[in-house]
Amino acid sequence: MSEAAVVTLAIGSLWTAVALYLLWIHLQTRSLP
Amino acid sequence: MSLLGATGERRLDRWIRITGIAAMLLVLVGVLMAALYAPLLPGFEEGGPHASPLGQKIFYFHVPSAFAAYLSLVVLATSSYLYLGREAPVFDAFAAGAAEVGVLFAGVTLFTGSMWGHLEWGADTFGYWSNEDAKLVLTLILFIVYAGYLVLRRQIDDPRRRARVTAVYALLGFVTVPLSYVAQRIWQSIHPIVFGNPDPDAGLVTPGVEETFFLNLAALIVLAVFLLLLRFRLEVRRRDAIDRASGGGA
Repeated sequence: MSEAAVVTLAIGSLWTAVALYLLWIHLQTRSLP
Repeated sequence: MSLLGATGERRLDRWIRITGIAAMLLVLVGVLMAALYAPLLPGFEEGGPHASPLGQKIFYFHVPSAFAAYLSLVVLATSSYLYLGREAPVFDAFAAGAAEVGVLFAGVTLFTGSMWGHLEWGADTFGYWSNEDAKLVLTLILFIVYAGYLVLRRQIDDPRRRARVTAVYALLGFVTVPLSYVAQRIWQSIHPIVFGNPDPDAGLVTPGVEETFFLNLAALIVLAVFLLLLRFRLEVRRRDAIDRASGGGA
């Protein structure tokens, strides 16, 4: 794997984790009665 | 009746909006600064300290992620301490979210560190790991302790018992936070001492690095606060819904 790909994967993991957590909070909030 | 009351909910909504907008702007500027403004530090060929100058850019997100995790776990410990003192459900509601945000950022710290180490220190397999590095081992223990906290929360049905048991667990587990932070100052670690290093050549000495780091630190701290508040609101609404369904008052 190239140097640029590893850097992108590392930094991308932060934003992916945050985006998935935001999506989870959104879905949980919407599913409340 | 709501856990927070109408005024408290309005105030919470306002702070979620403020921190959300601030986090979005700071993250955007932080990413642009790391990509375009911060210099590529000299590699081994130019007599510099880095095997991978491009990999050093991970630093701007790896260390702030660790600080965001530490902040969330300080919030968790404080909420847990306050719950044990006052037994107010609002502190337990805050603790539930703080642990999740702490585990999220601790996980990101471990992964980004493993990727940066892979480029900087080399590894036979994909990703870097060393059992001899106290910083790595203690941060992994921190991650496992608080992942365990999340599992524990799901195992206890009685709300008051769950709040009490997990508050004690969170306070006992908090010992991993300062140990993880100071690890390289006490034990063997490949991690450098960045803050408070007496060597004038150590730390953030290259122009462009310091301001990019502190901007990204601010971005991830504000982002963590935004996530803490957003998750707290979900927990409050969830408890209000349970309360309404059972026909009780708060």
